[in-house]
Amino acid sequence: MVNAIEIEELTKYYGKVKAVDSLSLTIRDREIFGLLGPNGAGKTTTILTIATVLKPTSGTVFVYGYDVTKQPDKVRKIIGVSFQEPKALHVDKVIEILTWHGRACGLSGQELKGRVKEVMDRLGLWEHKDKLFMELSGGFKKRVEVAKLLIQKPKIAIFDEPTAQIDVIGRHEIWRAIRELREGGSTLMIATNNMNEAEVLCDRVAIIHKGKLVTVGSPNELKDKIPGGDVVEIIVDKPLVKDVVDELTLTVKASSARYMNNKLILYLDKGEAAIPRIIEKLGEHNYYTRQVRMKEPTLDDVFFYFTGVRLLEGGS
Amino acid sequence: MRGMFLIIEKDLRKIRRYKFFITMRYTWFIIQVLVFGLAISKIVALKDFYRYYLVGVYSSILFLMSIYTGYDIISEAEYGLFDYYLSLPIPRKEFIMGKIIGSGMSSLIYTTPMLITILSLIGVNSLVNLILALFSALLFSLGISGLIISITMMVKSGDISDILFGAISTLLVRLSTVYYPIAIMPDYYKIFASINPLSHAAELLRFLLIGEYYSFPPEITITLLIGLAIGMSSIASIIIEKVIEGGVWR
Repeated sequence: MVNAIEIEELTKYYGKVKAVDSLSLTIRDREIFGLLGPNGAGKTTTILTIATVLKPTSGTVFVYGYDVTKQPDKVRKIIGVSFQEPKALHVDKVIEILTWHGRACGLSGQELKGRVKEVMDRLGLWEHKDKLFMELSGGFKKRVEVAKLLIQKPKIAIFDEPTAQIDVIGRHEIWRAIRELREGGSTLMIATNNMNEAEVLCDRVAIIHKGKLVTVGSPNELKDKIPGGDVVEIIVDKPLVKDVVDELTLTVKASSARYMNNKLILYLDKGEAAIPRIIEKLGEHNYYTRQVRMKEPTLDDVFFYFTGVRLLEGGS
Repeated sequence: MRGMFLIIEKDLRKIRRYKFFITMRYTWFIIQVLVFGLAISKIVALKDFYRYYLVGVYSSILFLMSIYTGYDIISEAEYGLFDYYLSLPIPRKEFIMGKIIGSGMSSLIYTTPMLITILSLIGVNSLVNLILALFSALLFSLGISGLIISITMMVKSGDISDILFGAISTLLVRLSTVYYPIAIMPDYYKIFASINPLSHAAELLRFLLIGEYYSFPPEITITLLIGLAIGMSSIASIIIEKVIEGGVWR
């Protein structure tokens, strides 16, 4: 079976800044694939290259066998992008934006009208149809951006932060619509820095950081990559130092540890039993334990494990 | 061609949203025509100078609107709309031609109330000439929009473009035959005025709308305007294609 997208050694420079660094990925047909990383990780550049908006500095990208550099017109016929920042003329009405988008993607007549109405109803946009784009709130602008792809129903749908600025109810509606797109035969790529979104939606996830691929797999596979079954998160009263963390790691036989300022994360088996010993040991070094939390690993932990930074902290 | 028409349509749709802008421009035009125009035509000792002046004012407004609509491309780039357009299944060449033609047509439509006003003052001598005048105005708009789009896409900065176009428009309007015929200009002005596309647009429009020409014969002006429209549209399309491919406008 032909893969939906094949990225081979993709590199993209903006001037002297390397936004994407030798990225190689394969996205399977009808898969929901997540691209997870903090802002500035290279997600949007990767998306824009796949969508033929940007040309790669080096490397190749194939979309259902079409080379994005040599056959861009063929690629654009089967791909659709919902951008992170909603794209529309601020003086256009909502219904005009969506109808024009449908026409630009080859829809017409009753099919176009029907799809526009259906999607607008679904995303709560119909009552705002005659409002100018500039009169909408950030969340509604984002819904308009997402609506474009739901109307278009492209073979490959790429969503860049599809639920950013959208409330919980809207977020679940968009997730449902994204799943339905797949059921209708589309392959989906979702760039996000929302771990929950990636876990809930995606069959497989690639974590990228500073333009490089860190790891790729299903959410469960990625979590299994963290040695030790439990994640113990401790917050103390002052910044931690390496010697103390190393000693603690040996004492409780943690498979690995990460720390940043006064926060420590230990990956270990039987975390619950180890917690009293951890607090005691920290006390011996004059650290007062303010908070202890034990949890199943999340994709954020996976990201932290591989990169040493938290996704929500923007990778800084 | 469908993609090109869609881009043109999108550009033309902007017009109805700029009612305030058009009203302001029209008000200024009326003041220029009814106050300055009448006053100055009493000073300048040239037969039918008021009619000469009216077509000149219209030409300069058309010129300024062509700069404005061409310049609009930078705001679309800055709002990130290029990313959106370029991701659509619209061939690049159609997108580029759509932007140039859309800008040119928008300028013509923006200035329609002004054209109607001067026609009501000078009268319509022939329907064929009026149609030819509209076509000439469109050619001129396409040429100027192409020129402005080319400069804007090379400069890639709204602020720098703004300053640059202020200087260009000030110079070109003054060093032209918009307000005075070449015969009464100082010699050092004549060289600039005779190569200035605005002079030729004004002269051709005068020939078609008034039936007289004052500085250059219509064969020369129409040839120059066709050359300007084709030349600048071609240059603009080459520049846009080079700039947008690879996201260099960012």
